[in-house]
Amino acid sequence: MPRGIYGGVEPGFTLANYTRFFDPLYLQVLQRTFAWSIACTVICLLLGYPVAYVIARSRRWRTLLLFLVVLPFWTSFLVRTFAMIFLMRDTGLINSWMLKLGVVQEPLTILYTPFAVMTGLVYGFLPFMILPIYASLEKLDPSLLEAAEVLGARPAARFRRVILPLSMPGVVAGSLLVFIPALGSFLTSDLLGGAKQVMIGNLVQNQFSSARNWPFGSAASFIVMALVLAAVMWYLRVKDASARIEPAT
Amino acid sequence: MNKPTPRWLIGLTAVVYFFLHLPVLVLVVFSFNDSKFSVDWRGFTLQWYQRLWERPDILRGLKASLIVGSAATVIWHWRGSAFGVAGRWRDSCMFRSSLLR
Repeated sequence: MPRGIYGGVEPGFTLANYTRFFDPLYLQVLQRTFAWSIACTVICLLLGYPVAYVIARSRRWRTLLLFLVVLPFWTSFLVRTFAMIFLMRDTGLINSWMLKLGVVQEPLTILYTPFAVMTGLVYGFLPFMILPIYASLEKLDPSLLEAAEVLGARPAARFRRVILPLSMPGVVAGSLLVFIPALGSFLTSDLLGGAKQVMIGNLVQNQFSSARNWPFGSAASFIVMALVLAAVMWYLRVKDASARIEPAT
Repeated sequence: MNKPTPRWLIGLTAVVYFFLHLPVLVLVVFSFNDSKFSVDWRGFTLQWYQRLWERPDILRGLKASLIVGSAATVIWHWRGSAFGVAGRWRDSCMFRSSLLR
Protein backbone atom coordinates (compact mmCIF):
# COMPACT_ATOMS: atom_id res chain seq x y z
CA MET A 1 0.00 0.00 0.00
CA PRO A 2 1.32 3.47 -0.80
CA ARG A 3 2.12 5.92 1.90
CA GLY A 4 -0.12 8.95 2.42
CA ILE A 5 1.30 12.46 2.35
CA TYR A 6 0.73 12.91 6.04
CA GLY A 7 2.18 9.57 7.02
CA GLY A 8 -1.05 7.61 6.94
CA VAL A 9 -1.72 4.53 4.85
CA GLU A 10 -3.78 4.76 1.71
CA PRO A 11 -5.52 1.85 0.06
CA GLY A 12 -3.93 0.47 -3.09
CA PHE A 13 -1.45 -2.17 -4.13
CA THR A 14 2.27 -1.70 -4.72
CA LEU A 15 5.47 -3.66 -4.38
CA ALA A 16 7.57 -0.50 -4.20
CA ASN A 17 8.13 -0.92 -0.47
CA TYR A 18 9.66 -4.33 -1.03
CA THR A 19 11.85 -3.28 -3.95
CA ARG A 20 13.01 -0.28 -1.95
CA PHE A 21 14.34 -2.59 0.72
CA PHE A 22 16.83 -4.13 -1.71
CA ASP A 23 18.93 -1.02 -1.60
CA PRO A 24 22.60 -1.60 -0.67
CA LEU A 25 22.08 0.62 2.36
CA TYR A 26 19.36 -1.56 3.82
CA LEU A 27 21.00 -4.78 2.73
CA GLN A 28 24.09 -3.76 4.65
CA VAL A 29 21.98 -3.21 7.77
CA LEU A 30 20.36 -6.59 7.22
CA GLN A 31 23.70 -8.31 6.80
CA ARG A 32 25.09 -6.65 9.91
CA THR A 33 22.03 -7.65 11.92
CA PHE A 34 22.36 -11.28 10.89
CA ALA A 35 26.11 -11.36 11.53
CA TRP A 36 25.70 -9.87 14.99
CA SER A 37 22.80 -12.10 15.92
CA ILE A 38 24.75 -15.18 14.90
CA ALA A 39 27.84 -13.95 16.77
CA CYS A 40 25.70 -13.19 19.81
CA THR A 41 24.18 -16.67 19.70
CA VAL A 42 27.61 -18.30 19.45
CA ILE A 43 29.04 -16.25 22.33
CA CYS A 44 25.98 -16.97 24.46
CA LEU A 45 26.39 -20.65 23.70
CA LEU A 46 30.09 -20.66 24.58
CA LEU A 47 29.47 -18.81 27.85
CA GLY A 48 26.10 -20.31 28.70
CA TYR A 49 26.88 -23.98 28.14
CA PRO A 50 29.59 -24.20 30.85
CA VAL A 51 27.39 -22.29 33.27
CA ALA A 52 24.44 -24.59 32.62
CA TYR A 53 26.78 -27.55 33.06
CA VAL A 54 28.08 -26.29 36.39
CA ILE A 55 24.53 -25.63 37.62
CA ALA A 56 23.41 -29.09 36.58
CA ARG A 57 26.41 -30.67 38.31
CA SER A 58 26.04 -28.83 41.58
CA ARG A 59 23.77 -30.18 44.24
CA ARG A 60 23.85 -27.84 47.18
CA TRP A 61 23.98 -24.59 45.24
CA ARG A 62 21.64 -25.49 42.38
CA THR A 63 18.58 -23.56 43.56
CA LEU A 64 20.60 -20.48 44.38
CA LEU A 65 22.48 -20.56 41.07
CA LEU A 66 19.27 -20.93 39.08
CA PHE A 67 17.71 -18.13 41.05
CA LEU A 68 20.68 -15.90 40.25
CA VAL A 69 20.26 -16.58 36.53
CA VAL A 70 16.69 -15.33 36.63
CA LEU A 71 17.33 -12.49 39.05
CA PRO A 72 18.36 -9.85 36.43
CA PHE A 73 14.87 -10.12 34.93
CA TRP A 74 13.50 -8.44 38.00
CA THR A 75 14.86 -5.19 36.66
CA SER A 76 13.58 -3.99 33.32
CA PHE A 77 15.89 -4.48 30.37
CA LEU A 78 15.79 -0.76 29.63
CA VAL A 79 17.04 0.11 33.10
CA ARG A 80 19.78 -2.49 32.87
CA THR A 81 20.85 -1.10 29.52
CA PHE A 82 21.12 2.33 31.08
CA ALA A 83 23.25 0.79 33.81
CA MET A 84 25.48 -0.56 31.02
CA ILE A 85 25.82 2.96 29.62
CA PHE A 86 26.73 4.13 33.08
CA LEU A 87 29.47 1.51 33.23
CA MET A 88 30.84 1.93 29.72
CA ARG A 89 30.77 5.68 29.26
CA ASP A 90 34.04 7.56 28.72
CA THR A 91 33.60 8.89 32.24
CA GLY A 92 31.90 5.70 33.38
CA LEU A 93 32.82 3.29 36.12
CA ILE A 94 35.01 0.95 34.07
CA ASN A 95 37.06 3.78 32.67
CA SER A 96 37.42 5.61 35.97
CA TRP A 97 38.54 2.42 37.70
CA MET A 98 41.01 1.63 34.96
CA LEU A 99 42.38 5.17 35.10
CA LYS A 100 42.81 4.96 38.86
CA LEU A 101 44.53 1.59 38.63
CA GLY A 102 46.76 2.94 35.88
CA VAL A 103 45.76 0.31 33.32
CA VAL A 104 45.13 3.02 30.74
CA GLN A 105 46.31 6.60 30.53
CA GLU A 106 43.23 8.08 28.90
CA PRO A 107 39.67 6.78 28.80
CA LEU A 108 38.94 4.05 26.31
CA THR A 109 35.99 4.56 24.03
CA ILE A 110 33.75 1.61 24.81
CA LEU A 111 30.29 3.03 24.42
CA TYR A 112 28.92 3.46 20.88
CA THR A 113 31.13 0.75 19.41
CA PRO A 114 30.17 -2.66 18.00
CA PHE A 115 31.80 -4.15 21.08
CA ALA A 116 29.35 -2.33 23.34
CA VAL A 117 26.37 -3.53 21.33
CA MET A 118 27.65 -7.09 21.38
CA THR A 119 28.22 -6.96 25.13
CA GLY A 120 24.72 -5.63 25.62
CA LEU A 121 23.16 -8.30 23.42
CA VAL A 122 25.01 -11.12 25.12
CA TYR A 123 24.18 -9.67 28.51
CA GLY A 124 20.50 -9.46 27.69
CA PHE A 125 20.03 -12.89 26.15
CA LEU A 126 22.44 -15.11 28.09
CA PRO A 127 19.82 -16.40 30.55
CA PHE A 128 17.69 -17.58 27.62
CA MET A 129 20.60 -19.79 26.61
CA ILE A 130 21.47 -21.06 30.08
CA LEU A 131 17.99 -22.17 31.13
CA PRO A 132 17.06 -24.57 28.30
CA ILE A 133 20.55 -26.12 28.28
CA TYR A 134 20.33 -26.60 32.00
CA ALA A 135 16.91 -28.21 31.59
CA SER A 136 18.29 -30.81 29.18
CA LEU A 137 21.52 -31.40 31.13
CA GLU A 138 19.62 -31.90 34.33
CA LYS A 139 17.70 -34.83 32.84
CA LEU A 140 20.88 -36.51 31.71
CA ASP A 141 21.23 -39.87 33.38
CA PRO A 142 24.53 -40.00 35.34
CA SER A 143 24.75 -43.75 34.81
CA LEU A 144 25.32 -43.10 31.09
CA LEU A 145 28.45 -41.19 32.01
CA GLU A 146 29.58 -43.94 34.32
CA ALA A 147 29.05 -46.40 31.50
CA ALA A 148 31.11 -44.26 29.15
CA GLU A 149 33.85 -44.02 31.75
CA VAL A 150 33.88 -47.72 32.41
CA LEU A 151 34.11 -48.30 28.68
CA GLY A 152 37.25 -46.17 28.64
CA ALA A 153 36.06 -42.83 27.31
CA ARG A 154 38.27 -39.92 28.30
CA PRO A 155 36.61 -36.72 29.62
CA ALA A 156 36.74 -35.02 26.20
CA ALA A 157 35.21 -38.02 24.50
CA ARG A 158 32.58 -38.36 27.22
CA PHE A 159 31.59 -34.77 26.60
CA ARG A 160 31.57 -35.01 22.83
CA ARG A 161 29.92 -38.40 22.44
CA VAL A 162 27.54 -38.49 25.41
CA ILE A 163 26.86 -35.15 27.06
CA LEU A 164 26.73 -32.94 24.00
CA PRO A 165 24.42 -35.09 21.83
CA LEU A 166 22.02 -35.62 24.73
CA SER A 167 21.86 -31.92 25.50
CA MET A 168 21.28 -30.95 21.87
CA PRO A 169 17.55 -30.18 22.39
CA GLY A 170 18.54 -27.58 24.98
CA VAL A 171 21.21 -26.13 22.72
CA VAL A 172 18.73 -25.85 19.85
CA ALA A 173 16.02 -24.27 21.98
CA GLY A 174 18.50 -21.87 23.58
CA SER A 175 19.99 -20.85 20.25
CA LEU A 176 16.55 -20.06 18.85
CA LEU A 177 15.55 -18.18 21.99
CA VAL A 178 18.68 -16.04 21.66
CA PHE A 179 18.92 -15.68 17.89
CA ILE A 180 15.36 -14.58 17.14
CA PRO A 181 15.06 -11.83 19.75
CA ALA A 182 18.61 -10.71 18.95
CA LEU A 183 17.56 -10.17 15.34
CA GLY A 184 14.64 -8.05 16.42
CA SER A 185 16.34 -6.08 19.15
CA PHE A 186 16.56 -2.34 18.69
CA LEU A 187 16.98 -1.10 22.23
CA THR A 188 20.52 -2.32 22.76
CA SER A 189 21.87 -1.11 19.45
CA ASP A 190 20.07 2.19 19.89
CA LEU A 191 21.34 2.96 23.37
CA LEU A 192 24.76 1.30 23.31
CA GLY A 193 25.53 1.59 19.61
CA GLY A 194 24.53 5.16 18.89
CA ALA A 195 23.76 6.18 15.34
CA LYS A 196 26.48 4.14 13.67
CA GLN A 197 25.46 0.63 14.67
CA VAL A 198 21.97 0.47 13.19
CA MET A 199 20.31 -2.92 13.31
CA ILE A 200 17.22 -3.94 11.42
CA GLY A 201 15.10 -3.45 14.53
CA ASN A 202 16.10 0.22 14.65
CA LEU A 203 15.23 0.58 10.99
CA VAL A 204 11.74 -0.80 11.50
CA GLN A 205 11.21 1.19 14.65
CA ASN A 206 12.29 4.36 12.86
CA GLN A 207 9.96 3.78 9.96
CA PHE A 208 7.05 3.38 12.32
CA SER A 209 7.88 6.24 14.65
CA SER A 210 9.87 9.16 13.33
CA ALA A 211 9.81 8.46 9.60
CA ARG A 212 6.07 7.71 9.73
CA ASN A 213 6.32 5.33 6.83
CA TRP A 214 4.30 2.40 8.06
CA PRO A 215 4.13 0.56 4.73
CA PHE A 216 7.90 0.49 4.37
CA GLY A 217 8.35 -0.48 8.00
CA SER A 218 5.89 -3.33 7.51
CA ALA A 219 7.66 -4.47 4.37
CA ALA A 220 11.01 -4.47 6.18
CA SER A 221 9.70 -6.41 9.16
CA PHE A 222 7.89 -8.87 6.91
CA ILE A 223 11.10 -9.54 4.97
CA VAL A 224 12.92 -10.13 8.25
CA MET A 225 10.17 -12.48 9.42
CA ALA A 226 10.46 -14.50 6.22
CA LEU A 227 14.25 -14.66 6.59
CA VAL A 228 13.98 -15.76 10.22
CA LEU A 229 11.59 -18.51 9.23
CA ALA A 230 13.98 -19.65 6.50
CA ALA A 231 16.97 -19.51 8.86
CA VAL A 232 15.19 -21.46 11.59
CA MET A 233 14.04 -24.14 9.18
CA TRP A 234 17.56 -24.44 7.76
CA TYR A 235 18.98 -24.68 11.28
CA LEU A 236 16.53 -27.38 12.35
CA ARG A 237 17.21 -29.36 9.19
CA VAL A 238 20.99 -29.20 9.67
CA LYS A 239 20.50 -30.27 13.27
CA ASP A 240 18.34 -33.22 12.24
CA ALA A 241 20.83 -34.28 9.60
CA SER A 242 23.75 -34.16 12.04
CA ALA A 243 21.73 -36.04 14.66
CA ARG A 244 21.14 -38.81 12.17
CA ILE A 245 24.81 -39.14 11.29
CA GLU A 246 26.22 -38.76 14.78
CA PRO A 247 25.35 -42.12 16.42
CA ALA A 248 26.74 -44.06 13.46
CA THR A 249 30.28 -42.74 13.83
CA MET B 1 29.71 -39.27 38.99
CA ASN B 2 31.06 -37.76 42.14
CA LYS B 3 34.16 -36.23 40.63
CA PRO B 4 34.60 -32.53 41.39
CA THR B 5 33.70 -30.09 38.66
CA PRO B 6 36.88 -28.77 36.99
CA ARG B 7 38.24 -25.56 38.44
CA TRP B 8 38.25 -23.61 35.17
CA LEU B 9 34.57 -24.33 34.67
CA ILE B 10 33.74 -22.94 38.07
CA GLY B 11 35.93 -19.92 37.39
CA LEU B 12 34.22 -19.27 34.08
CA THR B 13 30.83 -19.58 35.75
CA ALA B 14 31.85 -17.07 38.39
CA VAL B 15 32.93 -14.61 35.70
CA VAL B 16 29.62 -15.03 33.85
CA TYR B 17 27.63 -14.47 37.04
CA PHE B 18 29.67 -11.37 37.78
CA PHE B 19 28.94 -10.09 34.27
CA LEU B 20 25.23 -10.80 34.66
CA HIS B 21 24.91 -8.99 37.95
CA LEU B 22 27.36 -6.11 37.69
CA PRO B 23 24.91 -3.64 36.06
CA VAL B 24 22.16 -4.31 38.59
CA LEU B 25 24.62 -4.16 41.49
CA VAL B 26 25.98 -0.86 40.30
CA LEU B 27 22.43 0.42 40.02
CA VAL B 28 21.62 -0.58 43.59
CA VAL B 29 24.86 0.76 45.06
CA PHE B 30 24.60 4.11 43.34
CA SER B 31 20.99 4.59 44.38
CA PHE B 32 22.47 5.40 47.80
CA ASN B 33 24.94 7.89 46.37
CA ASP B 34 24.74 11.43 47.66
CA SER B 35 25.48 13.06 44.33
CA LYS B 36 23.40 13.80 41.30
CA PHE B 37 26.27 13.03 38.96
CA SER B 38 26.67 9.37 38.99
CA VAL B 39 30.36 8.53 38.88
CA ASP B 40 31.85 10.14 41.95
CA TRP B 41 30.87 8.70 45.29
CA ARG B 42 29.85 11.39 47.77
CA GLY B 43 28.67 9.27 50.66
CA PHE B 44 25.61 7.35 51.72
CA THR B 45 22.14 8.81 51.47
CA LEU B 46 18.52 7.75 51.36
CA GLN B 47 17.31 10.99 49.83
CA TRP B 48 16.43 9.42 46.46
CA TYR B 49 14.14 6.94 48.13
CA GLN B 50 12.56 9.68 50.17
CA ARG B 51 11.92 11.70 47.02
CA LEU B 52 10.35 8.67 45.41
CA TRP B 53 7.78 8.53 48.19
CA GLU B 54 7.01 12.20 47.86
CA ARG B 55 5.94 11.96 44.23
CA PRO B 56 2.29 10.94 43.78
CA ASP B 57 2.72 10.32 40.03
CA ILE B 58 5.36 7.65 40.62
CA LEU B 59 3.25 6.00 43.31
CA ARG B 60 0.30 6.00 40.92
CA GLY B 61 2.49 4.37 38.28
CA LEU B 62 3.57 1.72 40.77
CA LYS B 63 -0.06 0.98 41.60
CA ALA B 64 -0.96 0.67 37.91
CA SER B 65 1.99 -1.69 37.32
CA LEU B 66 0.94 -3.89 40.22
CA ILE B 67 -2.65 -4.10 38.95
CA VAL B 68 -1.60 -4.90 35.37
CA GLY B 69 0.99 -7.42 36.54
CA SER B 70 -1.38 -9.36 38.78
CA ALA B 71 -4.16 -9.29 36.18
CA ALA B 72 -1.79 -10.64 33.50
CA THR B 73 -0.61 -13.39 35.87
CA VAL B 74 -4.16 -14.48 36.68
CA ILE B 75 -5.29 -14.46 33.04
CA TRP B 76 -2.23 -16.32 31.82
CA HIS B 77 -2.61 -18.85 34.56
CA TRP B 78 -5.92 -19.91 32.99
CA ARG B 79 -4.70 -19.71 29.43
CA GLY B 80 -1.44 -21.45 30.23
CA SER B 81 -3.27 -24.34 31.84
CA ALA B 82 -5.47 -24.60 28.77
CA PHE B 83 -2.42 -24.69 26.52
CA GLY B 84 -0.80 -27.26 28.75
CA VAL B 85 -3.78 -29.58 28.46
CA ALA B 86 -3.94 -29.02 24.70
CA GLY B 87 -0.21 -29.71 24.41
CA ARG B 88 -0.49 -33.01 26.23
CA TRP B 89 -3.42 -33.96 24.08
CA ARG B 90 -1.56 -33.24 20.83
CA ASP B 91 1.71 -34.82 21.73
CA SER B 92 3.48 -34.29 18.44
CA CYS B 93 3.42 -30.50 18.62
CA MET B 94 6.70 -29.01 17.38
CA PHE B 95 6.62 -26.40 20.12
CA ARG B 96 6.63 -29.12 22.72
CA SER B 97 9.43 -31.09 21.19
CA SER B 98 11.80 -28.21 20.57
CA LEU B 99 11.25 -25.88 23.50
CA LEU B 100 10.07 -27.84 26.48
CA ARG B 101 12.31 -30.84 26.42
